[in-house]
Amino acid sequence: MSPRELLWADSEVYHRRLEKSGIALIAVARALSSDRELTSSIDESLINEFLRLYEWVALADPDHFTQVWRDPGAYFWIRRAVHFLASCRGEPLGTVEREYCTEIGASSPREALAHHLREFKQFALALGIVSGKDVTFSEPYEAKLPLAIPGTPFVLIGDTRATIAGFSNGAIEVLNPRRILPVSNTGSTASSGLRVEVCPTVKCDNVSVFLNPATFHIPGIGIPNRWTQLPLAFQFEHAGLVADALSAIRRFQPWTFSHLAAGLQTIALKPYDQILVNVTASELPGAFVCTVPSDPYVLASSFIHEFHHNTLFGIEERGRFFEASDQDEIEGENHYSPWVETLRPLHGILHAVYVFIPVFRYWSATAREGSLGEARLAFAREQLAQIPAQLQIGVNQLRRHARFTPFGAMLVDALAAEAKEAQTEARAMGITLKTPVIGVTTSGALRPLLRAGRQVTVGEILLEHLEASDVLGECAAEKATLAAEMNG
Amino acid sequence: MDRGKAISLRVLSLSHGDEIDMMQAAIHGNPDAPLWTAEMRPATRGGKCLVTPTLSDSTD
Repeated sequence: MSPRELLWADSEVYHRRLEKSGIALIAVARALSSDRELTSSIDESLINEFLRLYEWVALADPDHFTQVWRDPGAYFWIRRAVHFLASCRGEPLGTVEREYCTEIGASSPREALAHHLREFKQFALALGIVSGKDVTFSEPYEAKLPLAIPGTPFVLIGDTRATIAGFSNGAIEVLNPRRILPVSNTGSTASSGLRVEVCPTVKCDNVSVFLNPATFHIPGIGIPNRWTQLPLAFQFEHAGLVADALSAIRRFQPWTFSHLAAGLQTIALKPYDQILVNVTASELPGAFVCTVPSDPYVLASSFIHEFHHNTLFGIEERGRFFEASDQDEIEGENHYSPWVETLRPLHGILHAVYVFIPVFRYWSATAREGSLGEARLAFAREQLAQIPAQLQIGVNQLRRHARFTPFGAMLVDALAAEAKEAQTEARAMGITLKTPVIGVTTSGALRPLLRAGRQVTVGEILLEHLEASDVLGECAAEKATLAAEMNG
Repeated sequence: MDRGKAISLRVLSLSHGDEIDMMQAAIHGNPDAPLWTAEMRPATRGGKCLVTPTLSDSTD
């Protein structure tokens, strides 16, 4: 497979990640059953119940199991299980595990693992719902709400927690006090109290995606998540916009659309705030968060951007990109990035270069098609002016500061060639750095950025960004080139 | 829906024995078995880049 095929065409990348998480589940179950010393201070009945549920899950119909285990939260769960188990014998906790421990109030890896093994019950519950089979927990499952029931559109909603005894006769049985919550495609008619609601499912050809913010309501994920408590009505309100954005991808970037069918599970919509716009977590494959309202074409470009973070995280499972060095390439915020105000890790810059190449191609296809209205065409031209300049700075930063493995170097060479092609393509379309910058309002409208009644240009804002954010002076050469182009 | 093949834990345990052994070895601290090769980052900030300004609706 050529580097370009590996980067853009390999839709098996999502399936391999799913398989790996299945393999890890088997390994975790075997480690727990074969080495009780590893988990010596954890209540034996808890381990036994996990192993009993695991055996039940392992016997499930493959279609039912896959529906549940393909949920983004399953990858999150199994990866934490592997890391907490390793930490029980002394492996240091990673960033996600440390945040997880803080959020649940665990003071040791064993305490966190015990909590985490109890959380496996959500997958057994989901499998019961998907397969229509009863499942009972020896120790009730204390679920933190809202709970996205994996692989399903069902969301358990209520005040803070639910004590779940199991699933039987088509209903979730809860305790304290004992109640039966029927699980049906119409959802609960109640608007308060503990209930099962159904999130929207948006379908566009063979792409089917849940709009479910509760997927991001998990400890340690590193994303502020207060917005996950918003009523599902917010998702329903914007479901048509999501369908329009998916249609735009199908029309202007069909190869990404085919990947969405293979790898996209859940989108969470959030309203505008000053904390985050759109975000993807490496630990929730097939899911991302986007801010709405938005212009549907701009939202489509955000989907392409976020989804490709997912794809690159999947490609990273094949092997390391960076050689070990004295800097932390993954989390060390050490280098100028033309995309954000603060210094970024090399891994973040690599991701930005990767995801903005398909975004450039998308805007190129929309601009060439010739049917865009004035505001969208202006936004497309701004993107076509800005992205190639940013890609070049990003590639230069990687080449200056990163030490790549042969695998990483091969892929970065392919990305660098595509960054050059983007520059050539923009020039051929007559796009220059004097293109006006287009801002986005909080209601999603596209407007030129004006200062003293004059339109600000892409070249100006790129130079301003370098002045303000290249605090280490890493990109003096790029700054000089940009200034010369502006004056040329 | 084009979601690819279904997976089965029973089939995986037969077909991917080496990888399961490797993951188990990693859990138990075998230095020849990497714990999980993929990079881990809680959140990758994305979307509209910061040099594209968010405008107030009052400028409409």
